[in-house]
Parts: sequence; structure tokens; C-alpha cells
Amino acid sequence: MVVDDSQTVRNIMALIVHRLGHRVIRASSAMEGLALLTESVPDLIFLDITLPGMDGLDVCKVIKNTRHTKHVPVIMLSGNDQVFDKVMGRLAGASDYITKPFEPETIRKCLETYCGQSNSVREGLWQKSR
Amino acid sequence: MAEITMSSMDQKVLIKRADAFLHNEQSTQPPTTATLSSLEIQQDTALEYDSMVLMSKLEQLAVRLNDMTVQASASLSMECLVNIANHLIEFTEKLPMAVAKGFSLDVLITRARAHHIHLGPQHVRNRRFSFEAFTELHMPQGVMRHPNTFQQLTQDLLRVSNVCLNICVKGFHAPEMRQQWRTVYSGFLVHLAKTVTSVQTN
Repeated sequence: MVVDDSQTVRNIMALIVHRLGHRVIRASSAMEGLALLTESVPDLIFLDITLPGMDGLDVCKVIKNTRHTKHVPVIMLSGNDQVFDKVMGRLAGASDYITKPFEPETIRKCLETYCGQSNSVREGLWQKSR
Repeated sequence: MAEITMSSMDQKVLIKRADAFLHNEQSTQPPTTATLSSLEIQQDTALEYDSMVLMSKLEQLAVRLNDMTVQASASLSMECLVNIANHLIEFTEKLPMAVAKGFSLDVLITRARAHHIHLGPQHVRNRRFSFEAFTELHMPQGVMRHPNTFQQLTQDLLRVSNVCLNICVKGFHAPEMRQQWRTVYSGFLVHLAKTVTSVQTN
């Protein structure tokens, strides 16, 4: 699942995740993300820290305090590379932290770490093209 | 004030190249996926990776443009937009298709002179838009000399960005890749255009 208020980030993330052989659920706000989580539980959540209304850290806390979603790894996305934000993310229960702008390779590594081997044939090509 | 001046011969050469570029661009037909060679598929994959990196960077610049401090300053907003346009031009210039057709900002500005009413060679230095040139020409005190000029210049910068993004779409061989990236790029451009309208130019 990708929760980000930026349509461009959602589109890019969806393309990357899809290319790596996974299905993607997209949400543009905290409320939409939490609503979608009541319908299906993803293997991994990419969650933007800066969301309108309820911020990503609070959403992460809700996810981690909900019985059917607390096991799902949450990766915080942020344009800020401050240690403070990373610590806050950890305290909220996030498993990892990605700074924007990001490279597809960073997302691939996350998926590999938290969802197992990616099954896309394009993965090799991506690596070759770097 | 340093200004780029072009001789009439230079202009004729540029216009000729621009016409050739326009003609070639219009004659480009998208291939079908079935006819793609393994090299073309590999090129598409590499371009897609680079496009993802580019858009991730551009989105961060767009986020900065959305910042309240930046929105309150025409100068900071203009700098952001110039930066975005220059990133796009740099990326587009490196596309094999663009290289083959002699794409450059100079050619683009000359070709579409009728569409870029307010932008001209005077805004270009060393093949990129120069924020210093914008400052010298339109906001010597850090404030726009004429509030309307900001919207006019930014519309032109958005047009240039749009042309670059269209070329980037055509850089893909596979039709479905073109379609996917057209969606990504147009979403970005619409968001950028909306952000620009809320900049305070006074």
C-alpha cells in the first residue's frame, strides 16, 4: 500500500512496486488509507509523513495499535532527512525510513527485505541499466 | 546586463533546425509492443528507471514550490520553476531520440517563439534558463517589476516543460509505457500549474 498526498509519488511508487511483481493499493490521505485497511491488509505500507489532516506518524501509531494491521511493516516516506524525524518514525512503530527523492533501487531493497524476493523479470534489467 | 545576442544567420540556422525537429517529431509513429526488439525493451526499462528518479526529484522541487515561504515570494517561486524546467531540459537533451534530432533549449525557444510570448533567448545562458537573467530582466529588486509578468513567464516555462515531457514520452518504444508515463507526466504538470496560480506576485 502507498499512502501519499502527491499524485506523482503515488504513480511512481505504484509503477515501481508493480514492475517488481506486486499489487498496489493507493491512498491519497490518512483517512482513505485507514479506510482501505479495514477492507484488506497489505504486506507492506509506504506511508508519507506529511499528510493533510492526520500526519503519517499518527497513522503509523493507529496501524500499530490495531490488531489486524500491527504486524504489517510500515516504511515512512519523507522529504526531510533529519535524524529527529527518523527517531519519531521509529517511536511511532515504523520499520524503516526512506528519504525523498528516492531511487527505485531503494524501494526494491525494501520490498525484498519486508516482502521477500521480488519476482519481476525487469529487476535484473533495472540493475543492469544502473 | 549580459544578454545573448544572435546574428540573423544563427537565427536562420536555428529556425531551420527547429523546423526539421518539428517535422520529425510529427512523423514519429509509436511502434507496437510485438515489434519491439530486445534492445528496445532494454532501452525502455533503462529510461523508465531514469524517469522514476527524475520525477521523484522534480516532485520534491514541486513540494518546495508549494511551501508557504516560497509561495509568498515570486523570486523564490520563479527560481523553483526555472530549476524544474532546467532539470527537464537536461534530461530530455540526453534522450537518444532528442540527440538524433538535435534537440536543445535554443532550438526549442526559437521553434516555438509564437507560443513562448515572454520567454526568449535573453533568458537562456549556456543552454539553460538562467535565473540570474530572469532576475536582471524582471525583478532587479527581488520583486517582480510587473505582477502580470510572473504568470506570463511561468506559463511559458510550463509550456517548455510540457514540450520536454512530451519528448520524454516519445522516448519510450512501447505504447503502454508511453501511455503510463503520459499519465504520470500530465498529473505532475497539472499539479505544478495549479501550484503556480497560488503564488503571490506582489
